[in-house]
Amino acid sequence: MDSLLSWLQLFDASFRLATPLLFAALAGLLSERSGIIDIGLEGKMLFSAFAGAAMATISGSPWQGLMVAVLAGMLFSLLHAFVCITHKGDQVVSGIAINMLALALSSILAQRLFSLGGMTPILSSEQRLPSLNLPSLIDKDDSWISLLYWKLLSGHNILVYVGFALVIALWLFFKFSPLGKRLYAAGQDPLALARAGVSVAATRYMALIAGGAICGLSGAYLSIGHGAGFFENMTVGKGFIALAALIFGKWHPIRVFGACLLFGFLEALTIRLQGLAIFGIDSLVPIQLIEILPYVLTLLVLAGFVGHSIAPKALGKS
Amino acid sequence: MLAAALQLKDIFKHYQQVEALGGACLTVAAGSIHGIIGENGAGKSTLMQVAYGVTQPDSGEIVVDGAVIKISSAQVAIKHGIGMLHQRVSWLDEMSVLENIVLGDEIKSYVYQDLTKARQELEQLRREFGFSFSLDVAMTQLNYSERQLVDILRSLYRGVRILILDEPMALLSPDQADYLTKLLVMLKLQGISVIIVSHKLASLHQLCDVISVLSNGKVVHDVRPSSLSLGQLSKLMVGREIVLPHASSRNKQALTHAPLLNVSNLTVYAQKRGRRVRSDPLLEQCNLSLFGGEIVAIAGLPNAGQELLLDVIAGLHHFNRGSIELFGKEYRAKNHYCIAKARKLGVAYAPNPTLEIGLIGQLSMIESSFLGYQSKGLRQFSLFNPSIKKQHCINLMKQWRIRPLLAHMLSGNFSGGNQQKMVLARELSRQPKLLLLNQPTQGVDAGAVEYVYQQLFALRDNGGCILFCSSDLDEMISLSDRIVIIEQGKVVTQVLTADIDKAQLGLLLVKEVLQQQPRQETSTQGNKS
Amino acid sequence: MSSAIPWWFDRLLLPLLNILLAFGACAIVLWIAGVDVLAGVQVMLQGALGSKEGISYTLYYATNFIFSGLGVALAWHAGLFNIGGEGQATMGGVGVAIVCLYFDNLPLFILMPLSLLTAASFAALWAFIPGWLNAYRGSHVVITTIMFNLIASSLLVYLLAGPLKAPQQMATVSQIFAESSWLPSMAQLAESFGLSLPNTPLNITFLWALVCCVLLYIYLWRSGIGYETRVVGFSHQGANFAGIKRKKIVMITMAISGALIGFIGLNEIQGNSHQLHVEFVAGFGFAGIAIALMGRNHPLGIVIASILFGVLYQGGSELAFSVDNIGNDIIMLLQGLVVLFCGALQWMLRPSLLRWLNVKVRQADVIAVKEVNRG
Repeated sequence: MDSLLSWLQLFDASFRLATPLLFAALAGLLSERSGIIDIGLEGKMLFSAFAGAAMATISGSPWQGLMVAVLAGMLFSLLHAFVCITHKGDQVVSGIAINMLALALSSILAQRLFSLGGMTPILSSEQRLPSLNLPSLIDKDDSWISLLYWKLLSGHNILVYVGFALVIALWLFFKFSPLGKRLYAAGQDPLALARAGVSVAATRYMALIAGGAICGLSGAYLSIGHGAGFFENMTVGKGFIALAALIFGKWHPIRVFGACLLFGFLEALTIRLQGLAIFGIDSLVPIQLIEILPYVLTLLVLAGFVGHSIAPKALGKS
Repeated sequence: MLAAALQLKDIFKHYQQVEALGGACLTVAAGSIHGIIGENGAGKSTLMQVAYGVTQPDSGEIVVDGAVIKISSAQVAIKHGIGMLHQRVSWLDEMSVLENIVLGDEIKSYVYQDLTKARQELEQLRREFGFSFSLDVAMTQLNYSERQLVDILRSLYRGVRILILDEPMALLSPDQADYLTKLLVMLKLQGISVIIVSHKLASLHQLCDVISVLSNGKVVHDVRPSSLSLGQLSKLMVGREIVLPHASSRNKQALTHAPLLNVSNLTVYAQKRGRRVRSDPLLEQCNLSLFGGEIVAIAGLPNAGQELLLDVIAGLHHFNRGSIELFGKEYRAKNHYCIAKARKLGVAYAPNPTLEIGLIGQLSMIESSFLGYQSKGLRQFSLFNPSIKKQHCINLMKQWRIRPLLAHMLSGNFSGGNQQKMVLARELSRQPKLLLLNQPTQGVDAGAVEYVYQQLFALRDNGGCILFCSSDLDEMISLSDRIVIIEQGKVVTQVLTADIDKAQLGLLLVKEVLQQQPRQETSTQGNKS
Repeated sequence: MSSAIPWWFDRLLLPLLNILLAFGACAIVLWIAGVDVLAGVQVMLQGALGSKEGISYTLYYATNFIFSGLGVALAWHAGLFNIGGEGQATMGGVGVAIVCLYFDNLPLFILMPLSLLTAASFAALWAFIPGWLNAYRGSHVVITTIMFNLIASSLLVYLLAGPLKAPQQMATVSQIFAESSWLPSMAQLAESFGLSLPNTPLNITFLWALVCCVLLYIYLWRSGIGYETRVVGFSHQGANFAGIKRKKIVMITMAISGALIGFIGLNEIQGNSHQLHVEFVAGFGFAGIAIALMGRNHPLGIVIASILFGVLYQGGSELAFSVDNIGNDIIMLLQGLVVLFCGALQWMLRPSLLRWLNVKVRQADVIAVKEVNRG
């Protein structure tokens, strides 16, 4: 019983930790499927986290915060699109610039606005996005199915469910929507798309801006959903882990979802192991070893040792 | 005279500082087949891109059906009934024919696309014109010719009235080209105007109602093919009679006793993700010997394997079976034969100029002048003393009249002909025993071709040997002593150049194909499965 | 076809304008954010160049920037984008710390080359693996080096929490090295020549950084392997034709690039803090990207860009005391803008500027004129 509960808690935490990765990875998916490398996920996530928290603090409404976070993500994506599509600049360099700018701007603005050493004030629960309790389809009792329902599936932040829905939506989008096919074509063979009479630039602009919006959700989740405010460099590499999940998931929505869950689980495990000794493995492996597992797994996939990573053919080529 | 379907008036276009089009005017009558010819770089492709909206002209106007329009993108062109078949077909391989064709359709619903209507229309068109492929087959399963037909099908589906074809026949086998010309006549009968850009003068001469000749970005002649002969037409295109030096004075000295190069049973398989595909040999059991003091041409239809054979002998491409014997030393597949080794032995290679690998545009001419010989260069030119390197380069440039005489200028900023001259100069300056050439005089101006030939003959007369391939039959006849004919990766036969003329050579190439016809059919089907 | 455009246009005017644009944008952003820019600049310049001590600190920071800039630039010339500077510098520092902790009984003239080599080889290994993965497995260097950054920082935490942790300390730091293993500071060196310099962290590594610049120049433009490196960077197929073994070049280039960045560890750990601690790289590795872009991937340009960034870094830390608590963020902001304008948008101004300067001369004319001039 106890062990079941702690496993459930662990998985519960995995969902919570996987969600920001999921949003960012799906944002990256849109951008990279259209042929534009998106190293700037980290920066977009960070800045939208700041923008969301700042707006939520000022207005008191998490929904306005969410909106501003999404706008901030779109704004940075627009910059990326302007550089990479309009001026055909180097996509990696542009992404790095965005990371640097986001890091600098978020803490400068936080300092100027709130003078709390690069933080925003702690948000009260009304200023944060609410959690969602699932309808009482199953009675609360000690049976495992009820535990699964109430402890694991219900009671997450609303954005967690949005994330799950988004995975399905994107999968359907790429499979059935004509727009999705165009987006796919832009990343696979832009020349073919152009000859079909579709503007590659417009398709990519659309993909990037939509990606920016989704990335904004990821930032909002961090600062006004799961967390309660913004602090300097609060993403600490989550954007890069999302990028890793994107590659590990081979640029496919469902697989990316799986990769995010796995990476979220590993993160939950490291946090758990820092606190107390469970499962009797903490003495055997240092937690840093679990911490680096996502990166090592991604490296193995990239190197083709585990499966074969199939990047969009025209990725990075303008 | 029928009304004009498309008029291009005074089109100017500059690329950076280079004038690609200088006031080109073109009028295409409705329901006619209009040929466009011109030398490389005359501006044919640019003009067509302007008509299709891919390239924006600096000035000039475009009139479609009597109305002046601005074609700002391919979408606008398509809307006005202009379609284009590009030289390099480009499709999304893993999607089906149907999905590829409807990709650019107007989006009515963002969620789901109803394809039944499109499918009906396409099926009807497909049957009407007798295309044999199914709409649901993935693009990967179609060969080049079929992919072209998909392109035409897409244009028809969109209600094309003016169809532009850019070099459609360059990579087609004769029967495929024949099929295409028949199809074009069918289109013409349907009232569709066809504009066709091609180097194949003979085909155009038969097919077209009007032929426009482009030169230096202008249309210089509009002629009716019925009123003049093929020879007159080619004279119009070039602007002068080309007289190439002929290798009539074949070296009377005996050839070397032992062959310098001996290729036996050379077989190359295609590779897919590092694994070879056994069923599909690119070169099969090739045998070839070259003696000192002769120039040998490899002739064949495009992509028959002649370029690959050169690459393999040069050490640029792996081979799976057989051996290459160079100057008495034998190399097998397991010996890690590579281009550096070949160079050390005295092999020089001037690759196809269009690939832009023989010269690197971002390096200065000085640095380009020892590309491939850099390890030798380390010893030969003291690298701490740049002036020696520069002198070497200047000497080559002077000798080969490479203009402008600026050794520090990036080699990419020289014209194509001058770049090719530098590649030849570099390779010949090493006094190779075996020289491999792919399209040796492409882009080189007529005056310089003569000099190139002299140099090549000099090499031969000094006991070296040359193996080359060229798309130009004239060049093969004038340069070579012997012609080896390759077909579908196999060396089929060889002839002494003295025994045949150009017409016979052309016939020989086609005849080989005709004989092999049944086999070719089975092999394409083999590819499909 | 840029032969009609004067050489200084692409090599001097455009880069300078881009840099100005970056600085201008930075000033505007700060002005909007409500920072008194002019006063800030004054404080910065005063802090960085106003005193001997300030200059000394500036050069100390510039040393780090030079190393990371050179590393990024070298990889760039082979067409590789090494953004693993953070990880490579970390590993360099770990190498230095191990030598200084375990071989501190050696005399300095042996220890110095030893720690130099260890820093280089640890960092080189960290860059070599991505290089190998790229050469033999086709993995994208950008992604693999990012992964290696993250792995290196975990590794550092692990080492400082366990094997290398100072026994009596709560903080995650190593023991302070024996004083005999410290690198001589410039003040000490100057003293032996009878000069007096303020006592700052500026140490002998600065001279080594300058030597590295010269060596890199010779390597890239005067040696066979440098030639091969650049050919690989320009065109894979061209390199193949030239008989250059691309895989070999990629691995060697990445290793040397990593080694150069690894010397940051020498400057920071053995030259200044004398103990290994968690945050010693502090973004110097990433800064190499901005430095290399600003210095046009040329050693001389990199030295100039590094000194400029050194001024900003030193001035910024002065600013942190006086104006507002945003000194370091300003540097990050400027870095981002430099990367944006000098890197990603480096050709943005080109077409309009060309039109403005009206150098639209036909190539043919220019060539004809040149030929006439040459007789």
